[in-house]
Amino acid sequence: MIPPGCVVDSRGAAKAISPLGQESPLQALVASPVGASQPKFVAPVAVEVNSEARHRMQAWVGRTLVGLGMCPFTQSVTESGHQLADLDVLPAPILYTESGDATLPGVLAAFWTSVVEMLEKGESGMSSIILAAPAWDDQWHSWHQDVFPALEASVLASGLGRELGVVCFHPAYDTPSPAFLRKNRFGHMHGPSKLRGWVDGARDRDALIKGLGGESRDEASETVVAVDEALQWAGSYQRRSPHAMINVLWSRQLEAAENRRASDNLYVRNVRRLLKEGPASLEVAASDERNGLPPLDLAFANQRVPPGIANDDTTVADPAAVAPKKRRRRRKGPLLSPGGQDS
Amino acid sequence: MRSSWLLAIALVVVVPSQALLNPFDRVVLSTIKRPQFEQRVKDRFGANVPVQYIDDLSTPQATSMEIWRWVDRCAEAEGEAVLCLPPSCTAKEVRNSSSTGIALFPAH
Repeated sequence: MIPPGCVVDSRGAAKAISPLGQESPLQALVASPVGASQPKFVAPVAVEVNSEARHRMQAWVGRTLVGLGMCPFTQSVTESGHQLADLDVLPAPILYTESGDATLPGVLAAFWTSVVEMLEKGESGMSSIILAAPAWDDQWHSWHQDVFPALEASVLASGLGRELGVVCFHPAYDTPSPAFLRKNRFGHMHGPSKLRGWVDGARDRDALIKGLGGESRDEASETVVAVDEALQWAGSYQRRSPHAMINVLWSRQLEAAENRRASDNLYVRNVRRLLKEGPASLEVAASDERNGLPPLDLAFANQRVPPGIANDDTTVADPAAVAPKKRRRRRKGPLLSPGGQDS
Repeated sequence: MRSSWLLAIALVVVVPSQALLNPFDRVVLSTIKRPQFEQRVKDRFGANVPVQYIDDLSTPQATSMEIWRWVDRCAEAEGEAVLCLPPSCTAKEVRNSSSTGIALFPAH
């Protein structure tokens, strides 16, 4: 258990960080060891990153954001900010970068390093950051419980909350509970109840509900549970990247995108698209990306879809297949081969 | 008469604001206070405590980056380590609600 108010350094020792105090003529921070002996905790294990991590992230951007159309403003693996020219947003390069750090201070330092570059280049020089942190791939709990609240506090404390938008992705992303989201909304997907409200307002609502495992006009509790579970999966899947990832965007561009499309349309469209592709094949594709296999193209083996779901295709997922499934355990083995950080 | 009033107003408004905004004034300020600060640190933590400074002209993002790099490097210090913040930075503590209770120190 890490003592409250402490951070863990690269040797696994807890350090308490505190202001030097008002008696000091200059402001300063003091890092003090906690406890008599160090290191007190098991040191987190950093990983070396090389081009494989970036390849996986680019393959994922190509398959999901571009190929599946999950982000209509990203139409290329290397650039984003498309379809917003009339709102004074032009496409600009995506910065792909990686950090092998396993400590919170290490990953925050990497985050700020890339943000410094983004702010220096400006909107015309960089549209967004995709910062992969493979050392956190098996640490979903810490990623959303520790790293993202710390990111939020750090960004707000720096007065850049209106400049930057930060979005959370992870291989095991699972939309946090409503209670957690009430306190930590920063960077997370909407919960199933919010998505359900948008689905209920869709023109093909009945077909969507059926595709999500419910009965079109049946509000029985078990049906509601099944639909909510399916929406939990659909929302979470949109945030599942091959590696733990921090996505940084320009707040102004996010606002422009919000003005361009209503969130309900985008999220319902994404749910519709995921149903069409079929959860089984989507999970296989994600698993293949995580394991470093050659990325699949979009010719997934679709399953049958209930007729009536809006979208030109006649094939949709089997409703039974939409129910959330346990993620396939990632194959063990060297995640990243040795090599230098190539960010 | 009217132009002299305008000149007076301009002097009142422009001169102090230039003095406040001039970054070199802030550097001089910290340079004057630095020996005093170092003595205070030495008295409290001993002569060998590592002290690092952040550039007085740092931007919020650069200050944040330096803070987290320093925290990450603190593993190298056996005892205390000190990071001196720019005068423009306001250090205050933020704790999140998670079990680890992370301490964060805002910039600017």
